Formats: sequence, C-alpha cells, structure tokens
Amino acid sequence: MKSCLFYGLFPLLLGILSASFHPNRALWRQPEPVDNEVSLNEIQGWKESVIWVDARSGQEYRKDHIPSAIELNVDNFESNLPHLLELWQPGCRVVVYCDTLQCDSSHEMAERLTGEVGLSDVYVLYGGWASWRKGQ
Amino acid sequence: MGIVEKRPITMELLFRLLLGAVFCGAAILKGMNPQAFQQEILAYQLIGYPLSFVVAHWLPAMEFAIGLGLLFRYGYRTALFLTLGLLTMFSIALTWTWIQGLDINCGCFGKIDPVHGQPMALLRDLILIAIVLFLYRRGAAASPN
Repeated sequence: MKSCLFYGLFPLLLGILSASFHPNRALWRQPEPVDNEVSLNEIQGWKESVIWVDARSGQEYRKDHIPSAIELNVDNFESNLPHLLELWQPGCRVVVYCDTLQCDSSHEMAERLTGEVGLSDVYVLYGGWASWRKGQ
Repeated sequence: MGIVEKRPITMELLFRLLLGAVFCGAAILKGMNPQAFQQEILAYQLIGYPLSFVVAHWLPAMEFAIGLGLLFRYGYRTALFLTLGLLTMFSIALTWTWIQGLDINCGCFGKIDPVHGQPMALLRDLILIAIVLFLYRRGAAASPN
C-alpha cells in the first residue's frame, strides 16, 4: 500500500513541480506562428518560386533534407551563400527551416539573409523539418 | 556449494542496480529539458500538444521513482511491474514508428542517447525486459511488496 502511494504520489508531485517551475518546461499548446513564420500549407499555396534553405547542421542535412534545399548554416555561411545568390531572382521567396518549433537557427539565418545580405521575402518554415516530415 | 548459491544473488544485485541506474539516468537526462523531450514525444506522432506536456513532465518523474525503487529495493514488485509496463509501452511506440517509416530518435536518454534508429532502441528495450523478467523470477517472489 505504501509503495503504491510512493509510485503514485511521488511522480505526480515531482511532475507538478517540474511543470510549474522548470525553466525549460514543455509547452501546453502549440505556439502560434510569429512574424515571418509560414506553415507548409501556406507555402504550397504560393505561386512564386521558393528557394529552401536548410539551417540545420551539415550532418542532419546529409542525412535527409527537403529536395533542392541549400545547406546554409553558421559553419558554411560564407562558402555556401554564393550558391543561394546564384539561384535567387527578384520575386522569388526564400524559406529557411531548422529542426522543430523550438530551434532558433532558422530565425537567425533568416535575419542574416535579410540584414547582412539584403534579401527580401525571407520566411521561416513553421515547425521546421518536423513539419515537413509530417506533411509527407 | 556456497559459491554456487551466491552467484544468482550477485547477478540479481548487479542487474537490479543496473536497471535502477538506467532508469534514474534516463529520468535525469530527460528531466533536464522537458521542452526538448516534448519535441521527441511529438515526433512519434502518437499524441498531440496538451497530452505531450503531461507526459514530458510526468514520465521522467515516474522513471526516477522506479529507478529509486529498484536501487533501494523499495516496493520491489511494484517497481518491476511498472518497469515492465513502461518498457512494453516504449517498445510498442518504437515499433509503430518503425512500421510508419518515421526517422526519429528514441528520445529515451534525451539528446545524448547513443542509440540511433528504432531497431537498436528496440533491441535495448528487449534486453531490459529480459532483465526485468529475470529479476522478477529471482527476487520478487520473496519480496513482501
């Protein structure tokens, strides 16, 4: 009886404490898209051509990526940027993605492409690679 | 004769401590970042957002309680029963994602899980299940709870 209380109450209390005070606590609901984030459904409805930019690590890119996506992350920004610029034409849209909702590298890359390179129409795929996989 | 009788007890102790340490370790690694663990859960595509929040916080706590129970032999039969239940549940979830062709990490030990891909994670679960069954046969029958 005591052990049943231990295995029932202890995890419950620990879980409640974690859910209440943990600095990296999980999210109760899916966060809404912010600023320049666009969903896969929206992108599929675009008439403009899209250049996909994979902001994940090289290892993850080599494992699998969105067809025709360009590998562009903090490690290869200088070397791979010319490849992106070759493909880019006025009017086309650039969509950057990383792993999931929680990763920041796609937002950082989108900011660099807008601020440093001066590209317009740069977006971030809402939900990242995980949402692409889910949509396939 | 005495040595022959002692060996199963030592094996039981080793396996019990190993299983307890594995569960405590897994709980701590996942509990350090529930948000990242929630993403691993969502990648299984079995449950959605509100439930994944509950699981991301409750499961590491449950694993920690089970790990402590195994290490200190507290509520031993209950701990083994719960261990078997969780491992069976993990195995079913991994098998389902394997059948669906999902390329996901197990998420069993957070981001530092050395095992990649469902076959190896399933193999690990099956080994742990075998250990639980061994412990149950060896020691739980004599345990009061």
